[in-house]
Amino acid sequence: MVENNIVNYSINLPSKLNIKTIFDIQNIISEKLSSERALTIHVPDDCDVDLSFIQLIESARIRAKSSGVTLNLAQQANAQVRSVLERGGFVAGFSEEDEKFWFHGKAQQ
Amino acid sequence: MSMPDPVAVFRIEAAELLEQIETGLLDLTHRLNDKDQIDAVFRGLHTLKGSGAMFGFDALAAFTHHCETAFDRVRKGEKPATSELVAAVLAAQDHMRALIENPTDDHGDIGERLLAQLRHAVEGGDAPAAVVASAAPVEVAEEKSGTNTFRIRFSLPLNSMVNGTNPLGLLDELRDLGECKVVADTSAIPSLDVLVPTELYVSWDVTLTTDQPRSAIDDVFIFVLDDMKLDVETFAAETAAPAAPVVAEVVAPVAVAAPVAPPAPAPKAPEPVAAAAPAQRSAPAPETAQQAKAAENVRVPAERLDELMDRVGELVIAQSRLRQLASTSMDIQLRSVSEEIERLSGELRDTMMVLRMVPVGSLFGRFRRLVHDLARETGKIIELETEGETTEVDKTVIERLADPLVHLVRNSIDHGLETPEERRAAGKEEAGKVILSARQAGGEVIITIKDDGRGINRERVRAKAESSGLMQPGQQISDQDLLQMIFQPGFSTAAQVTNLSGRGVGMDVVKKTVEALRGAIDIVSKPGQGSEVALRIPLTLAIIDGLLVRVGEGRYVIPLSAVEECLELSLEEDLRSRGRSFISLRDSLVPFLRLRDLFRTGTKPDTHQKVVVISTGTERVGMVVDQIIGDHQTVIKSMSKLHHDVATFSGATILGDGSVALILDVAHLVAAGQQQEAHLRAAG
Repeated sequence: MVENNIVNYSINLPSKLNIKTIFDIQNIISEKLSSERALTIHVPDDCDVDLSFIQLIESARIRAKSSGVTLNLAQQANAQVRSVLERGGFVAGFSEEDEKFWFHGKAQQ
Repeated sequence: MSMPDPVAVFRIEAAELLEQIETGLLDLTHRLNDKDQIDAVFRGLHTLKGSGAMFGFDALAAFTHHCETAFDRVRKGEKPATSELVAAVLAAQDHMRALIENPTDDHGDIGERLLAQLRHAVEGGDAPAAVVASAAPVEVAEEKSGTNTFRIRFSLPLNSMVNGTNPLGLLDELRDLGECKVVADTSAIPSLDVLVPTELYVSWDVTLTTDQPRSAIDDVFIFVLDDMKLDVETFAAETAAPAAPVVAEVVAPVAVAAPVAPPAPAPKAPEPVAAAAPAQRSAPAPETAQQAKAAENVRVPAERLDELMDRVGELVIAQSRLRQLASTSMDIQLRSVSEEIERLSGELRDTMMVLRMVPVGSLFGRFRRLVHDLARETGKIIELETEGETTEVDKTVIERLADPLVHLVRNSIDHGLETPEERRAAGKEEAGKVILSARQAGGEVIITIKDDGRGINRERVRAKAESSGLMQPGQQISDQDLLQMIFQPGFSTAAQVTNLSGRGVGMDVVKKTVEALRGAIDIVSKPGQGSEVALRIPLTLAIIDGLLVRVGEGRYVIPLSAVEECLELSLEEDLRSRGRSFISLRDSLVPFLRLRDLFRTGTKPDTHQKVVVISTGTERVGMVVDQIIGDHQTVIKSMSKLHHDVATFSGATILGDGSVALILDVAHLVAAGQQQEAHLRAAG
């Protein structure tokens, strides 16, 4: 019953997701992780991503898991995010759960 | 309201600073002993360094620090200003521009060579030779002994991302060397509540099969080698397995896969490399996006906005005259046009004001990073709190206050806040607090910088002031005057010059800047409890809504934003209050000033005098006037130099009939009223 009452809150991130904006992104996500039970993150298609963003999302996943918040990406990782994941060697170490989070369980192309 | 990109703002400001520095340097080439120019160049470098560090241009900050130090020595007379030094800093300036425009680019050894020139110019030593030696790429003749497999495990310093190191670029360079399997280790990433998102927690385990020598791997990490952890194990591909069975478990699949794998990884390899190319030279890519975004906005020189404001001001005065003419005319059409013009000029004025107003949050936003970096530099634990970010202030005020606030925050952290150990010993929480706040009080914006540190050491301030000749030994001055000493030029009680503060530069600039904005600085400090510096700045600098009043024969404007209410002062109450000058206002006594007496008009009071109650924040005072004429759009004109020291008036305005009305300085009058109240209370 309680589960049914959980509102899935969505946030739209700005297109700059890099070291210059990362504090702001952290604030946006932190705030919602503290107040919501389920959070879906929209990453814009034309985003500018660097490693700091991937690290931040991984950190957010740790936080969400420890506090029982459901955290998802609205869409599977777009080309920019995927590129950073691959270049950074994240994909090679992905567990099934990681694959599900970042690629929605879909096979990588 | 969209916030301007702080980095873009910094770039613009830095470009202006560099221009100023360059002008100063070029002037210096003609007058090497011009102390003012030496000071100006030094201040420019100091500000550039500070701002650069604040916005994450750490390489720029570090590089500029050397130039600043060189000029500091010249400034102090330890070294002479020479043509060689000027030339070295001019050359260094070009490198600073490059570090601003392309902070993540590989600038090679240019910086080192320039610094060697600078050292040579200052010391006359043989530094260039050493640098030239290091500048030449070290080509170690190493044999390429066929294909090797390396296991490379590395982690970069926590601050590597903010220092401009691009880990993805390093991984791409490793991929360029051969077949590569990269696995990121994310186990050290902390939970979001403790993550410092600019720090790097990821490390890597890379298996590289290459025909390049081991030195090629070292070359990839050459710029970060000193600070990073790098562990490279070498295996000859053909012989590794028997030689190192334990590692072979990891290496073997790669080694075995090698003959088969190339077709698979081969097409994959160019993909990340292609992606890496723009990313590695990351500055241009975001710049292009930024430029596209910037194209939606128009950057207008502030002078043009000021010109426009002047025109609007003249229009308001003309409209005021038209209204006066229309009010005495029976022509309905003229009255109608007058009302229409009044409405339009009012809207134009409001639009103009909005154009100039920006939320103070855009200024406060810059300090998060600064405090974060300062905390790391000083080893202090600092909590930054901001309040009142939506308070809007004239754009000019925001721009001019940026540097003063940097100095004040730096001083709070460097001198005010204690180390965690000291705070523990003092019974305080380990984390020191810095609170930046803004609020509107009457016609002013009050920006405060408050810390809960050790407070200002009055004995040291006094000792320094006495030794500097700013006051006589043993001279009695008020506590506020003593504290205000810290705003004197060259005043610093810091025992050591640090990167943060202590050169005695800045606090005097803070005061000058605030005074130039017609503002004032209040300072409160309690030993062991902290300090609070409040900058009181007028809300607008051009046009205000005013309340036009008459006192005797003269007309005066009271800023409407400061007016709380208007009351009638009956003759009976006037007689009863005489000698006391208090009125009872909803159970509280409010002091009042008789402007007729204050201005010595020599006229008799009107039968129905009015009290206009004005306030600045919590302080209130009433002002007795003969008549309230009504609201008035007031175009502020500066007082002449002759009247510069008349504190009662903050400016003047031209009325519709062409006569002049003086604008009352609310803060001064409230202070005078409160002083009068204190005297009366003391007198019993």
